[in-house]
Amino acid sequence: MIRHHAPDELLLDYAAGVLPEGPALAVALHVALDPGSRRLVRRLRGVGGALLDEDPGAADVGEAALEEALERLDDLPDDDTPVAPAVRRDFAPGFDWAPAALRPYLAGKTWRRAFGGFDEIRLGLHGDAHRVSLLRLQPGEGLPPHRHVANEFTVVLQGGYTDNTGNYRVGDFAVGPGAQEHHPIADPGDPCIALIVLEKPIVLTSFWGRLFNPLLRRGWM
Amino acid sequence: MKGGADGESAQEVAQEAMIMVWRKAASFDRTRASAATWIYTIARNKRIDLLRRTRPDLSTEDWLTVYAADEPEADKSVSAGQTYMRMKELMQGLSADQLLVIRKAFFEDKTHTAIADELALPLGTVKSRIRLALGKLREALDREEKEK
Repeated sequence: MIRHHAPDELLLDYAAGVLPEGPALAVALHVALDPGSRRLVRRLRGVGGALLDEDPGAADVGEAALEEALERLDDLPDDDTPVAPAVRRDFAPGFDWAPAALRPYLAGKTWRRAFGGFDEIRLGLHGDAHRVSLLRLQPGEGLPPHRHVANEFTVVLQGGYTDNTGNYRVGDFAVGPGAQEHHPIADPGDPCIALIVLEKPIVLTSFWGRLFNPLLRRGWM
Repeated sequence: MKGGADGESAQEVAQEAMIMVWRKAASFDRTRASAATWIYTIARNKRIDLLRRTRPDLSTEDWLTVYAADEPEADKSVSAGQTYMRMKELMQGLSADQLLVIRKAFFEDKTHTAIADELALPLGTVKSRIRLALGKLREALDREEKEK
């Protein structure tokens, strides 16, 4: 039972296909795990169609483009070009908790111990300024207290965690508490694994943390 | 649908979508979706395909799992066509302000944050318009599904 849904405006952005890759991945994982959000996104796709039907001018591409497309059509062979089979890349065992949408990003990845007592896999995204990571916290372990300077999206993929805003379990979606400080602690049971999408580096708020902030800002940690 | 960064790639998407629609028209299944939704989905997937070219290591299929994690799923009792007709009626019940925001998301490729900037509205105002509009759609469709 999902108790924390992605906000409607984010689901709309996702359904319209306008989110950058990082946030799109976060919403995709949430949608994969939450039937309610999945139903809404499917309906929103119908909204896209309904709007297009009502006002074809909204997607107007111009005479020239239409003619060029028709010319290109003439040049095409009659039969459907065979679609190249997708290459399935193997990824290391131990990722069976990962929903399908995440798997392509896990090829060749391994957990690395990060500063602060948690494990991290940094996911490389091209042309997207978001910092996208998987974090793994052992039960009872916490992230250092920190606050955010911009948007942060979190989707829980295994286990759960609790902070001052509530308790989050598999499939739950959290939008960073903004300037408010938070200190998430993993629940008992399986280690907590979550995807975190950060627009800008976090700001550590403890004394030692503040010392490390310049490094975080440079992306060294 | 001006997907991609510039006018030229938008045209490329549109052309490829038109070609695809033309070639696949015979395989279009009216019982599963309305023509407009089908065309919209093709155009959208074409745009994702274009974006993907910046990530040659990911296959189109991988990209579609990111951008279409909700598909496919066995259809509910209501046929897609019926829901679609109903969707059009429900859209007419939305306020002009609410419709404007949704239209911009779908056809001008703007996130709700960009829409707020463009309309010089507080972000909270745009969010509440979206939430009110989607709330109406969700409530009406949920009620109708329960009644069946």
